[in-house]
Amino acid sequence: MRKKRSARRFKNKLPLLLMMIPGLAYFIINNYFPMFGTVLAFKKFNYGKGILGSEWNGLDNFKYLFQTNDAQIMLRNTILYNIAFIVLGTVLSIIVAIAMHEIGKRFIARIFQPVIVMPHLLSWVVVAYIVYAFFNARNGFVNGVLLNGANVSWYSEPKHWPYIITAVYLWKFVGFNSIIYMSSMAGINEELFEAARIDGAGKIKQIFCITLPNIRPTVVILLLMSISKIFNSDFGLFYQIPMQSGLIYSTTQTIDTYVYHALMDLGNVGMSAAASLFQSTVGFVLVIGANWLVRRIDPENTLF
Amino acid sequence: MKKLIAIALVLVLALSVLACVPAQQASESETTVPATEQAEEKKTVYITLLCMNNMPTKEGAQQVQDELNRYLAEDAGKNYQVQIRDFLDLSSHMSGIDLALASGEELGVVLTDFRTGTMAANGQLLPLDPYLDNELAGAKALVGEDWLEAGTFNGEVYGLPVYKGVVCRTYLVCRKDIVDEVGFDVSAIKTIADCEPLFTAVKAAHPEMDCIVPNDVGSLGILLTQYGQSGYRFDFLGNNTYGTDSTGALIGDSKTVVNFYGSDEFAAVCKLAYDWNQKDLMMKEASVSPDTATELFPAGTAFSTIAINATSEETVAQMFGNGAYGTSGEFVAIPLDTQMLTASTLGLQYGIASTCTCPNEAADLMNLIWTDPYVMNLIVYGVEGTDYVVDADGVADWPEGQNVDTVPYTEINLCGAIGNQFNLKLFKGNSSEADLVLMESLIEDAVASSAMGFSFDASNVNTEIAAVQTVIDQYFLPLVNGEVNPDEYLPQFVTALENAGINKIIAEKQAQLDAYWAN
Repeated sequence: MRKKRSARRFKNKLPLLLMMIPGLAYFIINNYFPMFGTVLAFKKFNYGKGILGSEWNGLDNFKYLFQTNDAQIMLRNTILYNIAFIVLGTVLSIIVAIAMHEIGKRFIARIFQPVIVMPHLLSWVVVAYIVYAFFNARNGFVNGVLLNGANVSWYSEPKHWPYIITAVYLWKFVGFNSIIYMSSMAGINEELFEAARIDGAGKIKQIFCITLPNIRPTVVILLLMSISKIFNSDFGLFYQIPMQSGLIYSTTQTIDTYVYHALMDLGNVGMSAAASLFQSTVGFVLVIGANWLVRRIDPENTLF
Repeated sequence: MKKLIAIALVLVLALSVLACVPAQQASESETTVPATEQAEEKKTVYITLLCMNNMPTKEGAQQVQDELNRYLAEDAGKNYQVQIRDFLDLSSHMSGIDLALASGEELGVVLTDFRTGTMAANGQLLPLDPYLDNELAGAKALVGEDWLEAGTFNGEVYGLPVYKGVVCRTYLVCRKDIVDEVGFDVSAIKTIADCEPLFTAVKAAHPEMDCIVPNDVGSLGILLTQYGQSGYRFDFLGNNTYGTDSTGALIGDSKTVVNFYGSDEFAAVCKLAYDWNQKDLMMKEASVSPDTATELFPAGTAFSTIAINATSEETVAQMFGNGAYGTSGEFVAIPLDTQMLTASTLGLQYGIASTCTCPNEAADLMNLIWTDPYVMNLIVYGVEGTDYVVDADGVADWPEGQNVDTVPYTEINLCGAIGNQFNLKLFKGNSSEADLVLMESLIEDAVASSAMGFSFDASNVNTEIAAVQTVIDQYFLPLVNGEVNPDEYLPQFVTALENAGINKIIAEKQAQLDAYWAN
């Protein structure tokens, strides 16, 4: 009897399981197989000897990440920028999403939506040239028009770049990320808002009591996912936007750009594997930690 | 990007391990499939070509390959065929070769991208020694034992240097109309320092103009005017000749490896650049500007640029005038310095990939490219009649109505980057008899460094090199372009280099160099 039921249950779920196969295959091939490559982080890789034949060299491949004073700077930059992006990005995306949600299905929304998503479609190289047009010292818009002919050398003064980079990041991603929140808001039952209106709740009250609590699971999941990437940085943003200007490395260098500069000539597979392994290990620890924290506070919304 | 590629490498490697078939064997079985339909089984030599022109069309490339194979079989009597495996552009060449080798694909003749030593240490190349006195005898006689030493690593030859006008001159190329306007006698200019009165006069007459603009993105090239035979005589010991990755160099006749960036000579270069920057004689923010002479001359905001070339001043001025660099008008080229003959100047080398299954035939092909004018012309200019035509004097030109961008196949910009440049037909507007004579005399009269055959094995100091490189990237360009005060930044630069471990690299280099001289 019981066997029969479980067989039927399996039969019911068979289509779902079959549908899972392509996705599973993708993950196994693209995300799990390559993990064997992490062994390279501990080897002195020789093309002739292959992966398994190459000699072990302990933690030598990791040393260069911590060799210079730059190491602290790039770690600090990576983490602080990511925290700023997570906090400001999430808050602004939600604000934009709420605003768009309030506009609803009016005609104007069809204009706004493409406009706010537009920056996301531009490549970093294009964005870098737009930024360059604003800030270059010879005929830049900021010096020439906004500051009335001032002579600020933006590309050699590190202090401006935390603001510029954060602004560029937000400009590019807020619109796109707000779509996810908008779709989550679209799922909220309209009757809730109606009931609230009848009870005399204003717009602000509705947002805080209905909209935000309803999108909380989405927010938590997205937060957890971005925390797992806190040791990674968007290479295009940090490499292209500052035009690789050396003088502003103190505020623009991140782990990814550091690895690029360090290994550009060497082409050392082991050392780049070490950098990735380091980033993913820290990311893994952080996401487990954050998930644990969420579970302590709000068990329903944990990722796993 | 590099890291992404590295990650991709890891992925590919991991996959090939999991496939449980040694990658080498897998590719061997593939190569028995002939590239073109042939009744008999012939060995196939693969060649990977750098492409610095438009990518050849599929038909154009096929035609060149067919003609090459016809020539090999019918005229040269060879029992193998050639397949041009890939055309890779500059930005993807190095990673393309690394990726192919990492996944065990068969390559044959490859350009080593100025890193023969690194590739040999990584096990990516086969030693050429067994073929030097057999298949490669002709090429060996051509380039000579001295040059081969530049491709030697741990006592074995891995790279065959390209035979070309390796010794280049540095020119100041300026607009003739402006020179005439300010009425300056340029024949009196012998060094970069002599240019200051000229620049001052130009700036006074044309305040909108920058006196020097970059010819290569990011660098004004002031260093390049003072590093050669008539200047400070730097030998970068295998690092590139632009000074952007120096990890210990020789200066003058000294036998002591020093930190190039800490030298008085480098400080003098930075001081001159800073002085001119303060006097507004050079383009500001050149380190970050994407603009080069190609855009700035036509825009009318540039007076001169610094160019490196192996040809005569007349040809250089012509090249700037006839659109080869995207510029037009009348130019004057003033020679300022001539490069030293060092391992760095001979860094353009070809080798045989470690995955090659027929190294004898690959070596034979290399020998043909270096010694047989027909093969050399075929690879660089394509097929006569379709890709280029030859006039009564034997000078090549584009076919009627065609140009460099429209012919099906041309590798004309590869003329000095493969084989033997002196075997090429003269090409209208690109080379002249006088240039070849000059190139040969430059090689003959070149001041050769005492460490010309030295190649550095960096495998013990990879960590330090990686760390040092990030420091160089940070300070080098702003200093050498005169954007920051050397009194303030140069000491910071040197301290940062020392913290990153440059002294360890220098000590290692010195030890290897002493051992090299002792032999």
